[in-house]
Amino acid sequence: MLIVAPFRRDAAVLGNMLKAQGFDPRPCGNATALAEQLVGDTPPIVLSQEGLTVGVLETLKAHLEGQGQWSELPLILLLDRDQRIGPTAARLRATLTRAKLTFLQRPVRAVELISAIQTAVSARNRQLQVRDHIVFQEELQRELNHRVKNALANVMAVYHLTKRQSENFDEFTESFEGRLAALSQVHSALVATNEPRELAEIAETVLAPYRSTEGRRVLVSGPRASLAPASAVAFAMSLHELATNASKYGALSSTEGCVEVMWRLERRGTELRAVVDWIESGGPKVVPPTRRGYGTAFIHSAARSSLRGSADFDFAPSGLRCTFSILVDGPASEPAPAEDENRVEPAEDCEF
Amino acid sequence: MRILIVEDNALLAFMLEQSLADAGHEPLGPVPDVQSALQIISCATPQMALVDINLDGGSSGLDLASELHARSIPFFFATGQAAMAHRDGVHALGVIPKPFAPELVVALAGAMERVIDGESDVAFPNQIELFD
Repeated sequence: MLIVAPFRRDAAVLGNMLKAQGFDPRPCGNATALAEQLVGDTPPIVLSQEGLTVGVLETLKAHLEGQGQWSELPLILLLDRDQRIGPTAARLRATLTRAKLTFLQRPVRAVELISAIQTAVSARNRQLQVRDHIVFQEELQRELNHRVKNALANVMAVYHLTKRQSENFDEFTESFEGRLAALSQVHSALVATNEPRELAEIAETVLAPYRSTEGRRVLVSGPRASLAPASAVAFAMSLHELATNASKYGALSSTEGCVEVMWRLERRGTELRAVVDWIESGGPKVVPPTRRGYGTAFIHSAARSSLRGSADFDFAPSGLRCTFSILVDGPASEPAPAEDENRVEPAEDCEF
Repeated sequence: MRILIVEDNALLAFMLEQSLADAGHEPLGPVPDVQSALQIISCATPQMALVDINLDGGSSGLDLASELHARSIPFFFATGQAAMAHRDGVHALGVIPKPFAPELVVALAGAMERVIDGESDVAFPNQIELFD
């Protein structure tokens, strides 16, 4: 705590006594010295009657007014027996409105002073905890606000995009509900923690509903690699579009159909890329679309932007194939080095 | 009008791209981070930019502000955190509050086009918060 007791050796005597009790006393001889100590988590202050100068009071008042609502800085005042405590206390209470004042009459017994200081220290610690809690709550509130706005922006985007694509209300309803359900799953499974996500986890989350029916086969495999939250949503919603399409027209529309999602990693300089293949087989014969639909347009856009790569479609008659190349973050394990066909092998026989 | 889109949210980016293209504009990007945006403006000259603030991987649209300003590219922040955008009020023309409908951005682009064409007294959509 801070000690303002300028009379003779008062500060030193008090300081020694408090040190012996395990406190950390910091004597301040005057208002300037006090002002220098009034920074950060201000500790309780012990003030003797001689320390109550106009300068000290003004310094204290200014400091108290700068503190947050959570603060009620404990001040222990040591007043003389002949001092009429009532009027002095009233005057100080009026000046130092944001302080918790304790008056002790001199000569003060050590046990009395120490117990007052213990109370003051624990009261102050509690106040600082409240402050930290308030700061934490405010951060949470900001973060929550941000995420709610983001979620609403997503819903708004899905609504407008689906509306733009739909021929009629039934078609709109079906697509909108499907996308919203996927977004909701993705959100609770992937975005809630705001951490990078593994490719396998993203694929499993989106494709889980398509596994529930007997006979449908969905295989997911590949080395560990992760995506930041926004990219994870982009990848998830791309897979959702592929899966919806497959369940309507492709491999997931028949009991013999199968979808394989597999990827390998390639390191190019400092970049790590995942080449992800979506391969359908065993479904009805594929008829290439005559125009680019919502799904393919979205996948192209998401792959180029959020996923920092590309997507290519191959409408082979045996089954649709979509290949993504996307920028990923490092996995725990090192990927196999990329095949390089042009690599020049060192010649066995060298002539110099 | 050539409009650079800086947005890491793939759904929003796609919505902006589609609706601006439908309205006859030429979307550049969308790009998900500051670095990719800088690559685009080093070789193309957008007439306007829409910039999200909170980008993936800790990147901030605020870091793009001075680069766009230096190249005299007018831009708006599209964000749910209008308070953050104010810190950079010197450079941005204003804020498109999230969430927003695509019609709002199309109307904004239309207004900007008229301003660039030299029309005076162009009315901007009410929902757009313009900086002084």
